[in-house]
Amino acid sequence: MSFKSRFSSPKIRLIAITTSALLAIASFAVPNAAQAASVFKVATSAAVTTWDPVQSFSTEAFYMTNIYEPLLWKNPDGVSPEYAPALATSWSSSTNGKTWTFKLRAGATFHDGSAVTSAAVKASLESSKKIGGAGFIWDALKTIDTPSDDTVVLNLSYAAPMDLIASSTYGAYIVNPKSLDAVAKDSKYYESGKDGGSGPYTISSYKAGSSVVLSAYAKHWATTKPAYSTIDISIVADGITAQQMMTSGQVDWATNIPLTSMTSFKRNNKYSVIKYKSPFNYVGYFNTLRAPLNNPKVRQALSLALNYREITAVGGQGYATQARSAVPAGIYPYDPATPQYQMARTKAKQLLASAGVKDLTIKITYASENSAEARFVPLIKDAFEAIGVKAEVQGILFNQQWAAAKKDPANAQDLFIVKYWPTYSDAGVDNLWSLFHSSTKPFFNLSYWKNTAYDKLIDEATELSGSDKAAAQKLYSQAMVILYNEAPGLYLYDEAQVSVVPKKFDIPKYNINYPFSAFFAGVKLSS
Amino acid sequence: MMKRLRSLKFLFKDKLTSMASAILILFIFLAIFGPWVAPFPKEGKGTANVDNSYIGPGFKHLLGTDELGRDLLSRIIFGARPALFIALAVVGFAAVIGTLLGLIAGYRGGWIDSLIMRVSELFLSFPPLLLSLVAVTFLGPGLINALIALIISWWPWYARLIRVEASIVKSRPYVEISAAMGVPDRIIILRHILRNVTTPLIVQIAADLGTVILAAGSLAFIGLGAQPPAADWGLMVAQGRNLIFDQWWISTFSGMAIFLAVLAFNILGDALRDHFDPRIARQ
Repeated sequence: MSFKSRFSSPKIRLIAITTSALLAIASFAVPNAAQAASVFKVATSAAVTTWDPVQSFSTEAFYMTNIYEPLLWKNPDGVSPEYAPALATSWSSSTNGKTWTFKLRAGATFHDGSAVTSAAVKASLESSKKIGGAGFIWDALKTIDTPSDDTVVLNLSYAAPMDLIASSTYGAYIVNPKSLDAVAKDSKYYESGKDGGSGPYTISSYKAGSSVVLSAYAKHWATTKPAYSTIDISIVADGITAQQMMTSGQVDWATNIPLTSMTSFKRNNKYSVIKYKSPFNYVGYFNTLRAPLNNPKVRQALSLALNYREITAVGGQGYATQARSAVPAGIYPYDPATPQYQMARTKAKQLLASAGVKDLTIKITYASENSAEARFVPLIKDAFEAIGVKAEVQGILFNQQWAAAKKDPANAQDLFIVKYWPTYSDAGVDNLWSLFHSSTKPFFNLSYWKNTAYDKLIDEATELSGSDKAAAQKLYSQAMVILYNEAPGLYLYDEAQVSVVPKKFDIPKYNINYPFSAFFAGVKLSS
Repeated sequence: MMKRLRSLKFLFKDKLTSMASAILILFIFLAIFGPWVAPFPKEGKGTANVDNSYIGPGFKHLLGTDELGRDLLSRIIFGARPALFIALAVVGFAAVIGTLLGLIAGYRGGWIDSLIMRVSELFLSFPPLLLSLVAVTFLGPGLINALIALIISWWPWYARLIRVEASIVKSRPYVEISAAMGVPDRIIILRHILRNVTTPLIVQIAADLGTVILAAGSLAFIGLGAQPPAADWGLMVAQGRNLIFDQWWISTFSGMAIFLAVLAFNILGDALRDHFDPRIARQ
C-alpha cells in the first residue's frame, strides 16, 4: 500500500480529521497557558554597571524598571493622567508643597514574599538620599514620617515636585530592607544578580557582559499578568550584530539598531520604524581651568566655528535637531527663545585674534562606543582647523573618558563630548545643575566652570520649581542665556529616539521619562 | 647573501609573485605620492564634505563616498602611507631589539641567555594581539601607541630566532678560532655571527610585514589604533561596518586594501624564503 492510498482509507481519514480538529481546538482553548510559558528574546546594548538599585545611575535602568518599582510611574507624554500608581495608590501635597503624603498599595510584596511597607519606603529613600547614585534628586527631602504601615509622609525643606521626583528613573526605587541591610554588610551583595525588588520580573540569571534572564514574579500585584514569563536578554554592544540577530530571528526584538540602518528598515514591511521625542542631548565641555579656554572669547570663537547643520545631520542621521543650550527640546525648562550659535568663522577668527590666541591645540575626547560621536567628532576637528586651531581626537571607552576627566581636571582633556539625559523629566534640576553648576569635586560638571550668577539662578530656580514652575522657568531661561554668552560648553544637538518594532509584537510605547528602559510586562503578540 | 638580494629577478619569477610585487610597488608609490595622485586630496586627508555623503561607486567617485562625504578612493590612497609606515616601523624596531638581544643571548650563553629567553617566553606566552591590546589599553589609543604596543609583542620572536641561529654559528670552527686568537666579541658578533643570521632575519621580516598590517588594522578596527579622521584602513572598515547593508562599499573596499597588502607581503615573503633557501624552492 502506498503512502497516498493508505491515507485514502475512509477510517484512517476520519482519525486524521478528528485528531487535527482536536489539536486545533486545543490550540485555541489554551492560548494564555501556552503564552504564559513563552520566552521573549531581546538584544540590547544596555550594560549592567551595578545591580544595586540605590547606586544605579546608568544603562542598567533597562532592566531595573522591570525588577523594581517606585512609588509612581510617570506616563508617556500626552497620556492622561500624568502619573500612574505604582507602589503608591494615592498621593497628595499640602498647599505650600512642603508635605507630601503617599498611601501605599495593599498586597504589594517584594520578591521574597515580604510586604512593601512604609518602613521599606523610608529606608529606601533615606538610603538613596545618603549614598545613591542619583541622591541629589532628594535634596529637598528633610524627614520621612511613617504614621502607619501603608502611609508615608515626606517633609521637605522647600517645595519640590515630589510626584515627579518619586517617579524618577534613578534613585526612586523601593527596595527590600533585607537587601539594604545585606549590601550595607557586603558591598558585593548584588554582584551575582540578586535583587530586592517588587516589580513584575525578578532576575533569574545573569552572566556579566553577556546575558540577563528575567522571570515573571507570580505574586506581583498587577491583575494583568505578563504575556511572557521569561525575558531572555542578550547583551550585544554592537548595533549591527543586534540588527542581524533580529532580522535572522535569533531574537524577537533588538533595542540598539544603528540610526544608519533605519532606511533599510523603513523598506521592510515586517517592521515599524517609530520616531519619538527623547531627552538625549549631545554637549561638549570646554576645560575652563586651562588657558586660553578660560577666556570666554576663545570659547565663543570655537562655538562659532562649528557647522551645526552638518554635525546634526551626520550625528543624528536625520533624527536630530540643533540643541538650544543643555536642555533637550520638549523637556522642562526648554526655552525656544534661548539663543543658538550658528557657524560664523570670520567672526570666530576675529575673536581668537582679539584674545591673542596663536598656535592653539585642542585635545578632544569622546566615548568610542558611541557611534554617533565617532561620526560627528571629525567635523568638530575640521571646524576648529578651519579657524586655525589644531585638534587631536581621542576615542576611549566612556568610563575611562569620565574617570580621566574627574581625576585631574587641570591636566585633563580640552573638550569632552558627552551624550546626556536627565534623571527625571526636569532638565533644570538635572542637566543645568549637573552639567554646569559649580561643584567642589567634578562629577558631571566637566567644564569645571564656576559662575556665581549662574549658580544663584539655578539654585533659586530649583527651589521654586516645586511651587512656581513659571517663575522657575524664567530663572532657568536667564541661566541658559548665561550659558550661551559664557559658552562653557558646545551645545550640539538633541537626538530623537528611533525604535524599530517587529509588527509581530505589541511593545509598549517609548516613555521619554524612562529613556533607557523597556517595560516587558506590556509586551504581547500583536493582535 | 647580499649578492643574492642584489638580483631582484626573483620578485618576478612567476605570475603570482609578479602580481604581488606589482601590488606592493603600487602601494609604495601611493604611500609616497598619495597627496598628488588622490583625486580629492583634502578629503583623503580627512576633510568632510557632508553634502556628498553615501554616494555609491560611480564615475566621479570610483569607490563611492563615506558617511562624511569623503571620496573613498582618496581615503584608501592616503591610508597606504600609515599602513606601510606602521608595518616597517614595527618590524624594523622589533627586528633591531630582537636581533640585539638574540645575538647577546646566543653568543654569551649562561645566565644572560637564560634571563633574555625567560623574559621573551613571558611575552610569547600571550597571543600577540592580546598583548598589544593590553599594552594599548595602558598607553591609550592612537597610531604611535599602537606601534609601541605591537613592537612590545613582536620583538621576542626575533630574539628567539636570532638566538638559535647565533648559538649554531658560535660553535663553528672559524668563530672558535677567532675567539681563541683574541678577536674582540664585538667584532665576532658583527663580522661572523650577524652576517650569518641575516638570511633568516630577512625572510622573517618579509613574512611579518603583512601580519603587522593586519594587527594594526585590527587595533584600529576596535578603536585602539589610529583615531578619526585619520585615513587608516582598519578604522575605515570599522566606520563602514554599521553601514554594511546599505553602503557596502565603505568596508568592502577598505577591507580589500588590507587584504591586497597582506596577500602581497605574504607572497613576497614566501618568494624571499624560496630565494634564500633553494632546498625549499626545489621541494
